[in-house]
Amino acid sequence: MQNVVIAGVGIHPFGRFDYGYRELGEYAARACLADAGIRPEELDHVFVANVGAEMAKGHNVLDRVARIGVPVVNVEAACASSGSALYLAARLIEGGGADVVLCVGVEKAARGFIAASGFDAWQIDNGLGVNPLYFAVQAQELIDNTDVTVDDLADVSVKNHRVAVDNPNAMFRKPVSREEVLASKGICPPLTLLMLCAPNEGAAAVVLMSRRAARERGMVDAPRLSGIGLVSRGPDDWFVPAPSYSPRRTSLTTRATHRALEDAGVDIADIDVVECQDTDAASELIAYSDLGLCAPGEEAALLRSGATALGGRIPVNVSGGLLSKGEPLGASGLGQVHELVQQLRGRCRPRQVDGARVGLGHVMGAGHNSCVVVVTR
Amino acid sequence: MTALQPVEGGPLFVDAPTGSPTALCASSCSECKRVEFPRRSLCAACGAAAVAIELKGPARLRVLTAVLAPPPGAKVPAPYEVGVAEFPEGICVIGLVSGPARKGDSVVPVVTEPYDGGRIFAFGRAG
Repeated sequence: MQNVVIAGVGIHPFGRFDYGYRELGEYAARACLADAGIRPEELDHVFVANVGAEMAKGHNVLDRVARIGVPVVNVEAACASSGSALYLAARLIEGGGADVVLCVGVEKAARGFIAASGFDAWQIDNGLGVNPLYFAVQAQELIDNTDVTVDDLADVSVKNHRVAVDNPNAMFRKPVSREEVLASKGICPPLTLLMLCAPNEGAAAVVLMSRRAARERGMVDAPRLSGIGLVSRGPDDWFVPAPSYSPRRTSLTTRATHRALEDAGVDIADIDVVECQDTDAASELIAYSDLGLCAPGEEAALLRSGATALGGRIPVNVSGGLLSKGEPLGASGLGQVHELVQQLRGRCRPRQVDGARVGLGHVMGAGHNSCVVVVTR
Repeated sequence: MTALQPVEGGPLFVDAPTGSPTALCASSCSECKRVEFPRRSLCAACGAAAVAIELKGPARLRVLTAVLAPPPGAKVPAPYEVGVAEFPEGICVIGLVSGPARKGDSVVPVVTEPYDGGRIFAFGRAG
């Protein structure tokens, strides 16, 4: 993808707040427009990603920013909602349908387990309609099929919390020890509370622009959205909320990654920094191999080598990840893009990845969907 | 070909007294042979007609975990165990666990009543 520039990014910190989703979205949208140095009237189109708010959610957010009369389209795809919005915006620009598109992701999620993840009534009635159960199945299979241990799961959380101390947009900014993670409340064995992300509140926004429109505005050094892959369930994929799976199941993440890398014309070895869907600690390790950062079975070795920590060969979730930021479902993907763009701009001290020029973001959502983006400086 | 119920309307398991062995109502594609649970009338992968099969086990208890806090809407009191049974037909099914079990055990589907008036399949030790 040659024609899509990231003209600006904005974020409202992730956490808990005493105001509504409209204000959260407005904050991120205004921050994004200011970052891009453009007025609302310059927008051709708006996509708003959200899972749980009211009808016409995006319209209600935009009404607080400016009444500009352009198309506003709401996008929902569970945890991949904002990745899906970004996909639509990028393809719209690439196809010549627009020059300046704002994407906003926003969520004000209830506390505790996420309800309404698409489970059938029999699953809900019988206690099988709860997301961490499915993450626990993945975690236990990872432990059974590789040399990953429960200590490794804890260490993912330790790694991500350590960097979140320096991320003002993260909800949890205290370092945790392996012992604290292991001793935290059990949820679904082997997963404990501190191995799982917390659904929360927040917003993020990105302005995409055609190369021509960016050039007209003098944006010659802005990062590009160079590749994006969005996939839904294939014949042998499995994720929440499916009650069964093939023992030879395939990976949505891997397919989305192949499409994004091909789109960008880069190899996974070219990636300098990764933000991945660490819904739980095992999911980050699974993403290592599904993204191609290591071969299947080498997830623990990659973690233990320090390669995925800040200062390592391929740092993963130097924002603190969802484990530390929390997960406002509709905003998480654009939150990743915000982090990647700031990393490529060199503005993330003291958790800056030195020399970062190519970043990769990855989200994965209930209902079987995954989006991978490549951002290039 | 056996006429199949739609996924939404078909039974999940063959009716049997509570505590008794049962079979899961699954399907197998007539073309690509993929197995589905719950049962489907058309293959989700290739669209060909699927035939009804029953998963009776014994299966291998591939995963054993638990839910330690009550999920939204659940009628089953927490905590409770959940397992994944891998059937020889080539499908892994997530379900409640009935009675003592360990990972790797040979299990069969049984009918259980985890809350008053609620009947569902679970996985219990074979034999």
